Amino acid sequence: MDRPSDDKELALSARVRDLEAALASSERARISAEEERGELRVDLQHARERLREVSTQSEQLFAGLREISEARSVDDLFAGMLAVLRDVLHFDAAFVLVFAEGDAPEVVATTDSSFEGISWRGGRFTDRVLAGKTLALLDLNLKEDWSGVDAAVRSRFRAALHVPLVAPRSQAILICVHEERGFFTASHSALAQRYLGLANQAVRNAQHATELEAQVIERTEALRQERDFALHLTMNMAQGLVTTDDDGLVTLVNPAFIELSGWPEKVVLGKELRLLLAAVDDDETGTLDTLEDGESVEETREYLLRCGDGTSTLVILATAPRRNGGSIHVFTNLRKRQELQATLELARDAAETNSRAKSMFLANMSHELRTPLNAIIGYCELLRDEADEREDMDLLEDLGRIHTSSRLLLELIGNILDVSKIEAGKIDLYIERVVIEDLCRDAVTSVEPIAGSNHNIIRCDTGRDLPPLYTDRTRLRQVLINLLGNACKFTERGTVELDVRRDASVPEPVLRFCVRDSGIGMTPDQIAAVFEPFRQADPTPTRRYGGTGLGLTISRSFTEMMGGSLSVASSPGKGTTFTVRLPCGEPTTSPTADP
Amino acid sequence: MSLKISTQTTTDADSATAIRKCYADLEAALGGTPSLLIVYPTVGHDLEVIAAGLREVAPGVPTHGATTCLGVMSESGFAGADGIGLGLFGILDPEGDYGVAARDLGDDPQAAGREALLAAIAAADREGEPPELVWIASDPGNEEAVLHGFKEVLGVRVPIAGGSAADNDVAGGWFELANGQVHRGAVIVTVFYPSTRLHFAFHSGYSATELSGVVTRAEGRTLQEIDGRPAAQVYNEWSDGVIADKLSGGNVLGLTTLHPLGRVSGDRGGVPFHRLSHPDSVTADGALTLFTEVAVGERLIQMVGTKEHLLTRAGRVTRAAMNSGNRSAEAIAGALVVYCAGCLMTIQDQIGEVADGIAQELESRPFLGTFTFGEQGCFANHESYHGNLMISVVVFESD
Repeated sequence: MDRPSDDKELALSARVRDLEAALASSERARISAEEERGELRVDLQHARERLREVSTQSEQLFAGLREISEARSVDDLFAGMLAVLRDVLHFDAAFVLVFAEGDAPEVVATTDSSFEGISWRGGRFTDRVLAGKTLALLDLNLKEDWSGVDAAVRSRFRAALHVPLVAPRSQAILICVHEERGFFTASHSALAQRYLGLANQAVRNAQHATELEAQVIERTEALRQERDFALHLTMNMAQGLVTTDDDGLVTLVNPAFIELSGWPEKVVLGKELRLLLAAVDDDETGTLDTLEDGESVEETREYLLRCGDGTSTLVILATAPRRNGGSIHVFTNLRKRQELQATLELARDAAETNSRAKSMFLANMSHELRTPLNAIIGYCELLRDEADEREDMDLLEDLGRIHTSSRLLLELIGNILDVSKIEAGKIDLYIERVVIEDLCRDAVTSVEPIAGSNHNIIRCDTGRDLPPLYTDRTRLRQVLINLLGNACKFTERGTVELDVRRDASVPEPVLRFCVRDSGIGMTPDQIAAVFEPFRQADPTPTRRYGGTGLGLTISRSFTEMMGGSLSVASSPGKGTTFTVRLPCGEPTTSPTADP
Repeated sequence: MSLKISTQTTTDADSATAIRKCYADLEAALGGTPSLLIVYPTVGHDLEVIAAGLREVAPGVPTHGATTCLGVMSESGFAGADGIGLGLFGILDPEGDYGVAARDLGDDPQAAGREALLAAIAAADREGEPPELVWIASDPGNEEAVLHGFKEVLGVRVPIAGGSAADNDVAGGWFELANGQVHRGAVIVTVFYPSTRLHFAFHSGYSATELSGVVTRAEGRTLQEIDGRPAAQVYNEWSDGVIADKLSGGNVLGLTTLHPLGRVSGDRGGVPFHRLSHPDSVTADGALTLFTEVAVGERLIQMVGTKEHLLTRAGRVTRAAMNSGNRSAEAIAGALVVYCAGCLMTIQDQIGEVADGIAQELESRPFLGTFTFGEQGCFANHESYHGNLMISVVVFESD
């Protein structure tokens, strides 16, 4: 009877157990689902916070970059940067400490005046920050590095965060402080790291701005010095200087202009410059319009300057535009220059007159002297012949001295006449075909008596196939006799050679006449003076060698007139060589014929 | 510069061999002398031998340690056999700073905590600087006071995490170890100044029920009344009679593991964070004794958990730690895990699944888990607390 009931009870019990198990399972599932829902909500909240954080940080970074890029001064720049970082790091105050080499650390920006001018002692902690570590302090009183900061400041602020900044030429630390002990943690350090680029950029910009400012000051000082120098030059220059503005009104005059014009400065300033000027010629009055217009053109022109005393002075006015408008005008006083030029011309004319008179006098005197002197020489030769026939040796000796002296005097007069003709430009050349061998033999024959008296051997060598020579035969003969005579005179018991060759060193037909001796030679100083008039190698009053000292001067002049040159090479004791180089071609004109 | 982590575990009962082998393997894996060592042996080991071994093989290396319940867990699984196990965690971080110090708790655990912390900071040569993390191993019973000592020095913003020393059977056989010295009744403090970031999570494996009441009488860790009624009676009603047989007094630790009492310690996104209190006995006068302090006026919530939650929760907390730093496992060098010994005793042989869950989240990166009689950690709102039946995880970034 009970079995069905028992079975039913058992079934119900089983059913209850199943339901309880299902209920427990459902409860576990519910708890698990709730837990997972909670986790998901936390994750969602976390994701939202991250997104908000990233978004906020991006906005702050952009704002910061805008602040520091738009800052007009270093103070604005740091203020902008610190304002952004305050929103991020939530500090109560902050300052930037710069460590420049050789200088004490300096606060360059701060949000709190308490930190201006603080004494930063530094230490190992500071060194670690400067080495690149962002470090927080629970309490800034715990580090010796802070001990130099005023005690009142250290009692007000407790926690500190130190962020190293990198600048191109110095190091710096951003220091944030907070009144709550232990406020700054690793999270703040990590946040600060994210904004380090912004802070570094701010420091770089600040440094750049500071350097620019220093450059501006330096450049301004340089410009001031240049301006002072220019002003000094302007005020002390000998020429008159005037500046005008765009309207042609005088803005500055220098003392030289005041002296030149006779106008007081206050009268001239602000006046139109053109009112002080007049055209030199009536047809140039239009040029004043340029000045009236204030037009800046570069030109140089003569004007008449109306002076304060009512007179006018001829001036050259050089005008140049100024870079920033207006013009600069430089006045040169032509009156003084003209006076000086006239004086010079008078002096020149007088000198030329005197020179012509001197040449005339010398020419006349030479002629007047040579005529009686030739008579003396002629009579002297006749008397010598008679004395020779009578074998009156005493008279013969005296007549010989008279004859020699007369010949020398005649030679001197001839030379002086030549020099005067050369200086007066009165030498005429007669160009003709010259037979070189005949000319040379004639010259050698002329000096053989001198060579014999000094026991010299004289030789003449003219090369073969010499080109035809067109020149003044008489002047060339005179040159060669002069050179050979000198050679024989300054050589004793030696040799004198005349050697004629074509000059192979030049392509043109040029003849080279070399007069070479083995005589006493010359020093370099003597060579340098040998062509000067009235100079001889032996300048002593008791000189051994006779002569006027004009022969070489004349010879060089004649040679050059013939288109050639005369040079000398010599060494003391080793003889001397004079070389005449003459072009062979027939000259179309002579120097004297074409003044 | 990167931070490297290695963990080694063993069930070798020979303490000398165990510590030497673990250290040798760890140093080889790191490729250098570690910057910090953390060792968790079970009480079956000879602590003095382990300390001597560490002094010998790692002289001068800051060393933090405490006994763990029944074994340790790592990426290799659970290591504990017959109540014997040892785990060694090493960090190689030449650019970081680490310091370890110990103080006997004595009569003033708060002062001990403060002084141990200052000594650890000094040992790291970072006086005055807030560490990124304070890692703690304390004798159970005074953790709140110790944490107060920390906050005296640091304020409330530096995260604190760790776990209390444990034995295998709640017999009071636990020890602590610091810098090659064995301690008993002490707090060990390690400060971390790593060269990379670290992230953390602190969670319970439990859900709140709708049952709650306000503490009307309590003293320290003894909860006498809830809403004016004997606490044990109220708790028994809330938990549907799990301690019905113990209302006159007795040990209830094993009975209450899935029904702890919770207090709200903050919230995130409207989801409250609970720190848990584990009832361990009923007094003769109907009070409950807990592993945490409670105060009059606090609202207690009946929490409920399941074995399944205890198995999966640790992996989720590890993921939460990585999420808090917005990092995936690729960026992580390794982790430290604190898992409540009470939970371990509940899931017993399935503890390997917990280790697997964590290893899966970390993608097999090294971690070391200890089983503790009290957990400390930092909630997502950056507040650090002591709790029971909690899971605390810290993950370290590699770069």
